[in-house]
Parts: sequence; C-alpha cells; structure tokens
Amino acid sequence: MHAALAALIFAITLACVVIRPWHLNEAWSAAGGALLMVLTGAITPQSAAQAIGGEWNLFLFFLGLMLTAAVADMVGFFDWAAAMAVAAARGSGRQLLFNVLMLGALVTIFLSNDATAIILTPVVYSIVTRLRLRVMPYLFAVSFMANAASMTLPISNPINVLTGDRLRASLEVYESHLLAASVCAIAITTLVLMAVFWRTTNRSFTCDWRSVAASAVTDRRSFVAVVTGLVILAGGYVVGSALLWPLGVIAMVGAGGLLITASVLRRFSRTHISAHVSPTLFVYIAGLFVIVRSIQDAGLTADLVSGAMAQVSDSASAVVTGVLSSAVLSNTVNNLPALLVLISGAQSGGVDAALRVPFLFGALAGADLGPNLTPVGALSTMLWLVIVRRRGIEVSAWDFLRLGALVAPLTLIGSTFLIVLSFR
Amino acid sequence: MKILVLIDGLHTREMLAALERLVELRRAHLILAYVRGTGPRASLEMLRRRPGRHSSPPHLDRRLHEAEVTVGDDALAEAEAIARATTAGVETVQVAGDPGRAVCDLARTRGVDLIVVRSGPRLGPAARFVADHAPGPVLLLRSHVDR
Repeated sequence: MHAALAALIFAITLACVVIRPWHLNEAWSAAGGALLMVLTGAITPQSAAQAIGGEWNLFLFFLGLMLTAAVADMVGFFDWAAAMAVAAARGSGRQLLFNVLMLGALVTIFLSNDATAIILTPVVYSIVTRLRLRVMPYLFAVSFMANAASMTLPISNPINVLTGDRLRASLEVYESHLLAASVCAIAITTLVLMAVFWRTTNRSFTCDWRSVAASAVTDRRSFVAVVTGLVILAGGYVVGSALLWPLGVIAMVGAGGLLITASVLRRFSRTHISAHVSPTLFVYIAGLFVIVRSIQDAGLTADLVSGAMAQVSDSASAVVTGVLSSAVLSNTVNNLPALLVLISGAQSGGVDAALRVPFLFGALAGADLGPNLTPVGALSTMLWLVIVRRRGIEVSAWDFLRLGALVAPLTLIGSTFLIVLSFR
Repeated sequence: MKILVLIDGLHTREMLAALERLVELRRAHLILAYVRGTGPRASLEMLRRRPGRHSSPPHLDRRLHEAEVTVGDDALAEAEAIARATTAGVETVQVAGDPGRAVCDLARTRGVDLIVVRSGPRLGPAARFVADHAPGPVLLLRSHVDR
C-alpha cells in the first residue's frame, strides 16, 4: 500500500514538474510532493530531514556556483569573453561559430553548464544580434555545448557532484573514466554544428571589438581582481577534487572571496545577486531528495534499476545500461530526478556492488549528454511549442529535434564506447 | 501609392535598388518596416530554462532588448537614408512579432497598395506567409544568392 501510494505521489509530482500547471514553478510541485509523502507516512519527518541534510555538499555547491556566476557577471566577464571570441573571429561568421563553441566549452568546464546556459547564452545572443548575423546557429552552439562539455570536470555540472559524492571517486579516477569521453563529446558536437551551419554562418561582419570589450569592462581593476579569483577558484576545484574535499565548501569559500573582493572594490550589486541566486532551486532540489528517498524506502528505485540491470553481467553492459536508462529518463522528465532515481536504485541493491561504479558513470554520462536530444526534456519541449504557437510565435520544432537527433546519439555512442574501454 | 517594404538590415541596398527599377518611386510613399522576430527570443528562453529557477535576470533581458532595438533602429536609419535619394515620402516603423504576420497587420492597418518582401533562393517563412495572407498585392524580390 505504501509503495503504491509513494509511486502515485511520485508520478503526479513528476507530471506537475514537467507540465507546470498554471505556470507553477517546479519547486512548488516538488515541495508539494514531498509534503504529501510525509503526510501520508511514505516517509518519516526524520528520514525526510536526513535526506535533505545529507546533501549539504550539493546545496552549498549550487549556492557557491550561483554567487560566483553573479560576481563574474557583475564585472562583465561573460561580455568580455564574448568580445574576445568576436575579435578572434576576424570578421568571419564561421570562425565566430567555432569560437563560440570553444567559449561555451570553457565556461561550462570551469563555471558549470548552468552559467553557460543562463548567462553566456543571452550574452552571445546580444552580441550576434548587434553583428547582424543569424542568431539561431550561435544560440544552438552555446546550448548544445553546455551539455556536451558538462562531463569534463566534477564541477562542470552540479549533478556530477551528486554522483561524485556517492562514488567517492577522486579526480584521477573520475578523469580516467570520463575525460576521453568528454573530449569526444565536445569534438563531435563541434563537428556536427560546424557542418550543419557551414552555409548559414558564411557571412562576414565588421565589429570594433575593442570598443565592445571596453564597454563590457567598465572597471578594469575589479575585472582583473575577479578573474584572478576565478582562476584561483578553478585551481581550488581541481585540487579539492583530487583530494576528495567537499566541493560545496570550496565553492562557498571561493564565492565568499569573490563577494568580498567585489565589495572592497565597490562593485557589489544586490541586483546581480538576486538575479542570479534562485532560492526556489533549493526548494526544488530538497523536494526531489525527499520524494526519491520515499520511493527508495518503498523499494521502488531498487526494483526499477534491477529490472533494467536484469541482463547485465559485466562492466561494459553496465555502462551501456546506465547511459541508456539515464538518457531516456532525462529526456522524459529532467536529468536531476532521473539521476537521483538511478543513484538511489543502484545504492539500495538494484545493482551488484561490482557493477555499481560502471553503471553510475554510465548514468552520469547519460544525464549530462542525453539532454541534447530535447533541451528541456521531450514533454516539456512539446508543451513549450504548444504555448509559443498559441502566442503566435512561429518556431520550427524540427530545428531543435533534427539537431538534437544528430548530436545526442553520436555523442552518447562515442562517449559510451570510451567509458566502456576505460573499465577494461 | 503607399508601399510597405520589409527591411531585414542585410539586403537593404539591393532591395531598394531593385524596387526603384520596377516601380516609379518619386510619387510613392515608402513605409520601411523592421520586425524584431520573437521566434529567436522564445527559443532562447526555452534553452535557458532550468527547473526550479526563477525567470531570467532582468538586466540580461534589458540588454537583449536594447541590442534588438538598436539593430532595428540602425537598419531603418540606413534604409531611410538610401530611400530618401529616390523619394521624399519615407516613413519608418519598428515592431516586434512574427515577421510575416506583422507585415500583413501593418499593411492592413495602413491601407498600403503594395507590399515588398525579399527572399533568398528558397522562400523563407516570412515571405511565404505574406504571399499567402497579404491583404493586397505582393512584390517578391528574389535573390539567387543567400548571403
């Protein structure tokens, strides 16, 4: 009875997260689902508190990431980086596309895919619009690369931190399994997008990039100080990952240092902080943790994962199963709940201990790269298309799906092959 | 004669040159229209969407809006300067929306006599929509080179 009720609440919550009835923020759907789990006894309040409290590292990491991105935006780092990409393109639209792809990869690797998607994308959009180039190729470039490069370091995607905490994998182990796969994903994404948009981006532009860069950086002293801080923070992440320090603590220390720097140099802006820090995100994540713990306690996640692993007997098939199940779930709902369910299932007996590590690395790859098929999940994409059509906005759904149908399978196949090899 | 010309900021000179060869512009009143397409912005919002987060940072949205309006203003200023060499009656208008629909709506409300749109080797969505739904005659200036 408990299991059936927990499953029903889980399904309804996920449906509300995807459909967003009455434009409800996903956080309130997740919070509502978590509350229902507690009220119906599917989970005790103590277990719910433990499920949330046990993930303090991830919460701190998210907060640190958002604050870091806010400070970088305050001093014009993203605008400056985009101006440098324009300068290096020397008037060639094609070269600019390549530069934007590389910029997207670098920002994702060191500042996370969220920073790329939320901040870099509109910056690139603005600059390309001013250059009178077609916007969509560059928009797609940043979006697809935000996912393709998000496996490179543990900090490149917050869900990597989630998996890393479970695996207790050092940076060396992490990179031994995922670095080659990540480079492969970046390379495939670059090749595909350059090929698809080869003709469309064959335009020249003129731009006084020096004035663009100068307008992006209004206070050189603050800019240099913050960029130095970002470099130190990146080094801190690498060292911390290698020594298995909690990345959330490093993120908060780094963000704290950057905020103090911004304050001392009189560049602190409450507007930027409130624009970039979303309290509802923590409600969303906390709600999901409680909901997944509830279905875990009911044995559902173990059953789900053991069903998927029924025919798996070696590390290669464990990786493939992890990738496929994670990619499918990520495209159906969203990669965070998908990965939570798979991690929970793997850890609560759904996967043999010997196959747990390859399965989870595969699941991580599927959750990072899978979203390139449908950027916000299949159902959300369809709903979004319905909504914009009602507003009289014509968007070609096929553009997204065609590109995703090329990029995602190729990157998943290439990366899966390399991850399988890494376990031999 | 009132003529509505859809300006895209990229092919203005060749469009107006072609129009001048085909239509007597000296007594015409040109309405140069630039439409800020909403499709790309809607796509941007979808690709930026992250579950649990509030809506996109307002200062970034303002910058986007400024970039789009500035490009539109520049395109119209350039088109007006070219058009004034051939006709005194020139008016510029910038609107936001789907380009095809916006042009048809403008044509209807302003009671234009002719709509002029440009297309590359293949008809784009705006040209196709205008050809299908325009309230009056449409002149399609087709280029065989899509720059």
